[in-house]
Amino acid sequence: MTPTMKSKNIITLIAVIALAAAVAGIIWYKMSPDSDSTDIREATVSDVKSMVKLCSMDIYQETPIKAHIGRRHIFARVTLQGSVTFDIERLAIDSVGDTLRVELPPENVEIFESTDKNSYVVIDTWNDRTLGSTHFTAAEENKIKEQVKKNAIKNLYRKGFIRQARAEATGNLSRMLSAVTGKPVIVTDPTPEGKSRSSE
Amino acid sequence: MPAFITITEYFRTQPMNQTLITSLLLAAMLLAGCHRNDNSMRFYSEIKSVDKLVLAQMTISKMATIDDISLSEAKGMKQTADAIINTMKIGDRVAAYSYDTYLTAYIDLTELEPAGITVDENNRVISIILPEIRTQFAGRDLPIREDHYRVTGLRSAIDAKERAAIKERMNESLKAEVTGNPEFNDRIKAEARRKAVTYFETLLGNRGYNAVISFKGTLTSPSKS
Repeated sequence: MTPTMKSKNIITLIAVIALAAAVAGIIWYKMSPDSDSTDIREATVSDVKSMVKLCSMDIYQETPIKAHIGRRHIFARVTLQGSVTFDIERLAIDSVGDTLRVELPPENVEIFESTDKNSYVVIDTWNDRTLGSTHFTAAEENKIKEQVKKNAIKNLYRKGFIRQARAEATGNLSRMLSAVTGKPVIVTDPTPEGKSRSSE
Repeated sequence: MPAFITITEYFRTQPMNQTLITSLLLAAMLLAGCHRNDNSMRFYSEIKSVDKLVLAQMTISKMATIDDISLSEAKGMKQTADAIINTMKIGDRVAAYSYDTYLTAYIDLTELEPAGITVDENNRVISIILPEIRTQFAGRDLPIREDHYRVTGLRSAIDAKERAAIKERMNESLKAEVTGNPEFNDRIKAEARRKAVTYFETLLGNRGYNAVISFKGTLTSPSKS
């Protein structure tokens, strides 16, 4: 073997080792866990409460959010989920002969953010001024979302859904009580438009 | 050359290479125009009449923290590389967020069958077989609680997009925990059963009847303890 051939072989060997080391390095890098600065803790049950609420309406609504604070703007999409319920735990029942008389209680309109995938997506934040801050603090964002919730509830009253929910609840309550007691039941509704409308 | 020429005329007058490049650019523009935007604005809305008796609600809290990974915590090459880079960053970026999700237990009153209710007037006993107790997520809080926030030096602030993404990941994790661990459902269902029994016993007791409450899918009524 000539010295030239020998040095050629050594160079080839070094190149092969270097290539193998590079491949091994890439595989190790690819297989190593991703770096994540977010740590999600285990869920904890903070409260379990019992109740007796008659639910006559389920709400599921995707809503755009377009709001601004000063020159800062936000555009997002939220999926709201809610219900119209009636607390019937301490219902006053009067007997008139064989018939039971009940008054429909005030409604509870609950609106939450849905737990479905991508129920809150921030699409864009911008500032009217070039190079102006586009940052919204959590408190500012929460305030905007609170307003979205208020508007959603207001719309339910305005579009007559609460009236519909109360009418449905009147029928449902009458059917349920009549079925379990075996007696005729009359449910009256003192505020068919709902508590907010009646107090306006 | 006229101010406006047709596309066919343009291709006829241009050299082959230039024609090919122009054709590719046009095709790219057309494809870009045809591309479906995943963020398209389609807003779905559903208001549904239901007949449910909600008997229990569970509040489940979830918390997430944002913090740079340190060298002692790093595992593997990627994390070690990031941990080294983190040591060179000027300032800290630490925050903690939490929110509540609500799980409810209910019975669907449309499944309450007349055959499941028997009245014994002689002994003043009413037996009711209630529908099976079901659970569903009522939703989660709209706001997010910022339990801690400390962003200093030259570090970037935690913005609305990042918070929304964190909330999404927390939601995914919470749902996986609740569906994967029957303890959540068992606990709320037990509470709902207790409440239903108490409610109907009181309701019928006030009318002078003894109530015997059971549930579809269960052979015995739950104990009151």
